[in-house]
Amino acid sequence: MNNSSTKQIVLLVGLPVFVIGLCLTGAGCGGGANAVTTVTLKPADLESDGVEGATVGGGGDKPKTGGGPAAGPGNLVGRFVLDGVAPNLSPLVAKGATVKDAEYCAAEAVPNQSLVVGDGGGIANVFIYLDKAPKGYKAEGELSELVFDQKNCTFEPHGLVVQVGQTVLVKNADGAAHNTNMKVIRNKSFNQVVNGNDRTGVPLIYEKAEPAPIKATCDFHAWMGAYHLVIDHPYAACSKADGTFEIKKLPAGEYKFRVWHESAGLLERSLKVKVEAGKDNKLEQSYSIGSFSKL
Amino acid sequence: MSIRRKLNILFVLACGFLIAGCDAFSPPDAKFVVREETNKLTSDVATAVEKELEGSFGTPHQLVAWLKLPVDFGGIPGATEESQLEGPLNKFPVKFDAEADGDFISQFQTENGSFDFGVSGTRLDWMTGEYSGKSMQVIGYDSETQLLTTKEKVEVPPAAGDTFILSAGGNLKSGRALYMEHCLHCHGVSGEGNGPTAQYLNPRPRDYRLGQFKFKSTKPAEKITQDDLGRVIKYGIPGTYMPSFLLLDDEELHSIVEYVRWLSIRGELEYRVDQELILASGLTNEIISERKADGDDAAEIQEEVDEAVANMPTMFHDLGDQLAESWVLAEDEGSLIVPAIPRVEDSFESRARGRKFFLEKCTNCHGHKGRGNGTMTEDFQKNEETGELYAEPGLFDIWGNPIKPRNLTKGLYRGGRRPVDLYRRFYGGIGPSKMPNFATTDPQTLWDTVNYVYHIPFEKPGEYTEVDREYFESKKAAGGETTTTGEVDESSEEKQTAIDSADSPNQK
Amino acid sequence: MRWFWLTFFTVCPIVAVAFCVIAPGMDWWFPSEAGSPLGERIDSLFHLILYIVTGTFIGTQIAMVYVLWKSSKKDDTRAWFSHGSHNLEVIWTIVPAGILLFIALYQMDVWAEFRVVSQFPKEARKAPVAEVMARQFEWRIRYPEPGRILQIQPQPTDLYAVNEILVPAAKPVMIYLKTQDVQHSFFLPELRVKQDAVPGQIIPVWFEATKPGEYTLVCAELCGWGHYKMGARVVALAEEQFEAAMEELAEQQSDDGFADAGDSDDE
Repeated sequence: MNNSSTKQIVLLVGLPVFVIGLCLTGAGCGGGANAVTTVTLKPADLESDGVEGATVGGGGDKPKTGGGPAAGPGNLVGRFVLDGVAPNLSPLVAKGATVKDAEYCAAEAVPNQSLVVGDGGGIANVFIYLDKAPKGYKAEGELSELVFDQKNCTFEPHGLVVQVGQTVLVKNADGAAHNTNMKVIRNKSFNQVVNGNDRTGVPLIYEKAEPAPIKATCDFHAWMGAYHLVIDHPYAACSKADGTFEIKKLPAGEYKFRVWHESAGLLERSLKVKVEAGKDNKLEQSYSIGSFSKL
Repeated sequence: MSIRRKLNILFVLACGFLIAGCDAFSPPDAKFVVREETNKLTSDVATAVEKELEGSFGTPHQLVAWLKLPVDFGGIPGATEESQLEGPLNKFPVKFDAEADGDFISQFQTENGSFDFGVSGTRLDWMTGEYSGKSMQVIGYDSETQLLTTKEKVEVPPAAGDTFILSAGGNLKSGRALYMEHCLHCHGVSGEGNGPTAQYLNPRPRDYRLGQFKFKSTKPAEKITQDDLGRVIKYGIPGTYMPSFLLLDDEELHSIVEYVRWLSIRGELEYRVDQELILASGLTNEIISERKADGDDAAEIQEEVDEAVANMPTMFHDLGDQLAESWVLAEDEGSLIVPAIPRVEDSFESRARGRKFFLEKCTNCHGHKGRGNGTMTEDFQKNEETGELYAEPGLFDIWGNPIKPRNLTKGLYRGGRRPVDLYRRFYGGIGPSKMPNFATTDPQTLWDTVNYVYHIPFEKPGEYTEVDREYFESKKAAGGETTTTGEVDESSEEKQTAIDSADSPNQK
Repeated sequence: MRWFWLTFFTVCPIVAVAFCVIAPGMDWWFPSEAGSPLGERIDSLFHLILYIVTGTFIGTQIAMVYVLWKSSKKDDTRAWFSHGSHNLEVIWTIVPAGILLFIALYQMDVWAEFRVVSQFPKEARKAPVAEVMARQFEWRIRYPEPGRILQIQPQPTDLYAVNEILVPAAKPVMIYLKTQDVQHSFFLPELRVKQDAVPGQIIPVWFEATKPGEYTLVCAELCGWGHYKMGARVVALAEEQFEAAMEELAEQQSDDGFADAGDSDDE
């Protein structure tokens, strides 16, 4: 073999090998776990951080929600109506079905309460509420105790309005234990076993308002469901079986209400309502079946 | 052109591609993952969220230690003392915090008693006072005069009582380096449980970003403690791909635990901010376009968006405070689950009582014989988030992964196999995987069940037949049917898995 | 060119032998002094083979260098054509064969003592100290309760640990090696123990740690992406300390949490 072809072979083979070698050594350095890192410190409180603070959530400053305390209160009375034919929903658990604790849970059929429409088209379990407490609102007086019961493996009531700090007694009218699990967002989790025939009730107190109604479930009986609206003011209501509701002693002014139903989500994000002092302000809202997309 | 020439050119080109492809000089940049929900937000708000997150936590290479968080970032806090010296000067009398004093000595003092701060000095960050927010480099310390010497000279000496942190962030940096080395490939850069190897694993690695962990010793509503996290890292989780890192020393373990907590806080903060912005304010692209279609005033909507953006730092601080509080509360004595009575002695009677409790509460998921094949594994469950049924029957955890109830005949206890660990699983439940808690059950019954569960892998055929019969008969007497067929299983041909040697329990 | 190759082939073997000689001093040699009696014997076998091989190496290299040197001289002598030599071929077949046969027979007892169960030290065979289950990517250990004999089947009283094997020092101990998933290998470099763990098999492995201390355990069979970090430790303790450590382990495993209200339960 002559010299030039040896040189060729050396180049052809040696050069790539050399370059590969370089690359591999290069690839090993830098980056990843051993990359140079810096740490900057961020102060703990708002002021040192250079932020002019305003509290978030609750205590709304929007002039649109508030009315002056000088104006007297009025009531908001109304009704939610379904425009269209109510769906016929089959029960979640048929009577006599073989489910866990059938002697309580299948003693009666467990109705599907996703959309309860009364005679005359009234929609039950619709929440109407103010997103934030109105300007100048101060909590006064003691809050009554509410009862949240479980009978025949169904929550009663299906929709409950709860104020922050109000005690809800979770009771059990069935012989079998239930495990009440609240799907909280802002609050601390509540996941408690309520023993059979507990008539004293396990206390449930919410410390914060929730941004939307939260669901109550039972870990033992998966079909059970109900909703709590947790707010930090009393200006909310849940419509009854006939679709009617009433919110008492609303300071006069213009408000933006939210209307929520479990099978629709937010029906209204900011429903403008004018409340006049000293009278029952009427509100009639009608929704077509199409709005209830989550059925 | 000759063949040789062509080959030469080809090889030169190949080498060129090789160098380019090797990426030898630009390693891939690690980035924190942005949540899906953040991406759903309208762009101004989403940008504000990401900006605030970066300002509060940084990027994987440029970390931010947010002093609000109950994370041990490392560093030695101290304060200046009354100084007689006049400026310009670079020597300040200082005193280190009582607990940190030992750290200072051990980190910087050399064998002959002098202090070494490294070639380029050690960073000092002023927290309060004249120089708050600035950093300097410490190059010397005199233990007699307690004078700290910095590289920079200042005109005005810091006042007495000005606080600082020396060598801040060291723990966070080392935690990060260790995490990237040991944990990242499964748990991902942001602790989202989706690293490169995660796709091959079942169960999936933990996603820290919901702030919930399965195997903790605290009450159901509380967060996990540093000890629990340390245990998991040290001893692994048998039956999963989480290995034991026993060979790490205590300091390294502590750094990793702190970094994991930091990632968890970061992830949960983003999660909560998203929840607020979506559920409370409705600032997603979808909702906004719906509102515009419904006829809402665009200017009003823009005002809401602007307000949310302006309010972002405050929201972060508030939520940060809440999270900090919950993590601190987890370390509190009162959060720990401590059995009210010592373990009830293991006896057949105790196990029989445990068996009855098991039949009452546990068979739905864990099955009649504890094989993890209860009826709930065959039903279609509802996804609480979407309201739809899951595509597959069986149970799902909060991260959306399908899970199976434990097969107790294997004698494999993921959260630890001490009696107190089992007690804690019953008392506290396992929130993320939907195992209910039995905090209201009396401790005697819980211990009976612990005794029973320990014995399941060693059960002999027919051992509990009488107990089962008693239970079902008492149920019938009370009236009504029960789910389980009510027939006592007297078949003895069912093999107990403890006997099958090829399938050794207890070691998986 | 010739002188280049001559120098090359003279210098390289000399450098190789030099490196070999200074290696132990530079810590480029075995991980440590063999920590077990059998390990020492294995080491001496290794040295024996090394000496034999080195002798052969030096001999062949000298021959090669001589040939190179001789033929690198500019010489007009015609090359001598050899038609092969039957005798030479016989010699250089029989001698190496003999050496190999010698090595094979010489090491037989060490091999048997390490690998053949019936040759294991009796006291190790009678009371296995632990069952070591290799799994991706850790070592799960199962001990019998102090005072009991380890059974193949897990017992309710067994104690469990991970990545740390406690053994008594200065006496032969035996473990049962199993694997839960793929092949691993139980490798104690300092004690010169290596045994593959084969799925479906229970393999007894014995060793003796001469001195108390911590010994590294690593996996020596590629078992997946975590093979490199499948490290653990074997902690050899003096007899009383071993018993005390096992008692402590038993206590920790039966911790019912009642006593330490408020204590952080570490361990």
